[in-house]
Amino acid sequence: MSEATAGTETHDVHHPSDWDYVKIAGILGVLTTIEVLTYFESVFTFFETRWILLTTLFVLMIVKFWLVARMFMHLKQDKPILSQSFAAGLALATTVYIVALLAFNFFSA
Amino acid sequence: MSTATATADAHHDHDPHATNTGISNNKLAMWLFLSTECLLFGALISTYLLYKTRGNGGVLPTDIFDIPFTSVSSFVLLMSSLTMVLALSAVARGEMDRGKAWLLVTAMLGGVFIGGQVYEFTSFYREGLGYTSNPAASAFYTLTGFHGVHVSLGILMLMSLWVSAQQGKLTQKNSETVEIVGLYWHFVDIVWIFIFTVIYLIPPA
Repeated sequence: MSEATAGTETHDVHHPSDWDYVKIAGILGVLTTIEVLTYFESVFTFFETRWILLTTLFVLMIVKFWLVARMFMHLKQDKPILSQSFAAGLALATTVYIVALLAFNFFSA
Repeated sequence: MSTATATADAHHDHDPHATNTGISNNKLAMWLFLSTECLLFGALISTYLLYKTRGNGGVLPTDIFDIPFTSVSSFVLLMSSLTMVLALSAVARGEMDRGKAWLLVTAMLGGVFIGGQVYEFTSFYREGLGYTSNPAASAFYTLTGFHGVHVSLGILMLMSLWVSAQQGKLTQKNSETVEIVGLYWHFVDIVWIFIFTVIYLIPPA
């Protein structure tokens, strides 16, 4: 990246309006409602299939996580070094504890 | 970088203490702190996952979860992230009265979440799930208790911001303080998003 580009990159950011934040919160609310509906397997019988349930829950969790980090924590507008430092900690933690769970045969239980 | 460019950058960022990264040291420090918090909560979540079926013949946390109740608590915490970001937005625009109101609402929503957690712990205890009842109970209380302590610290930070704003010490000029506390608050919310799915919603195999 040229010095000229580096000097201007933070000035073109579009900060969301309050209404944008309300819309994001609405999406988060809807996603949480879908998550909770998976609990009522007797009504939504397709969630009795474990892989459908797990896939649904993990996708919803990751989308919610991404929305809060990117929009509410302003990672979308902030300098990439902040996303990178947070992602580094998250990746390290995920790797370390997946290895730990593998060592204790958690996934084969 | 030429001196002229560096000066222009510092001017555009409105930061009298320009750093090499272009980010204030306080903000970078908070992000690095949150990064290390991932390891703390990762350890606690992994421990619970390993011990969640070890009830030693007694009651397990998964046997007595009240999902509808916890869902409401989760929703309350999620909405506190909205009020937090609205507080920051208001303070950054210099609308201090509105900012103070949102800070107070955020702290109150956090208080409702903590109240729900106290109620949940009390009802679990009455059903025979004490802290030392079995390894699953210990791991569950340690994980959710640590999260609760984080929320409580967040409430204290929010209230100290509110007091500062009341005294006129918190202004539009130092809105970054609100942003840094907001980062902590949103992180606590993110951790709960993970806990709610992995601990509460995924049923035992």
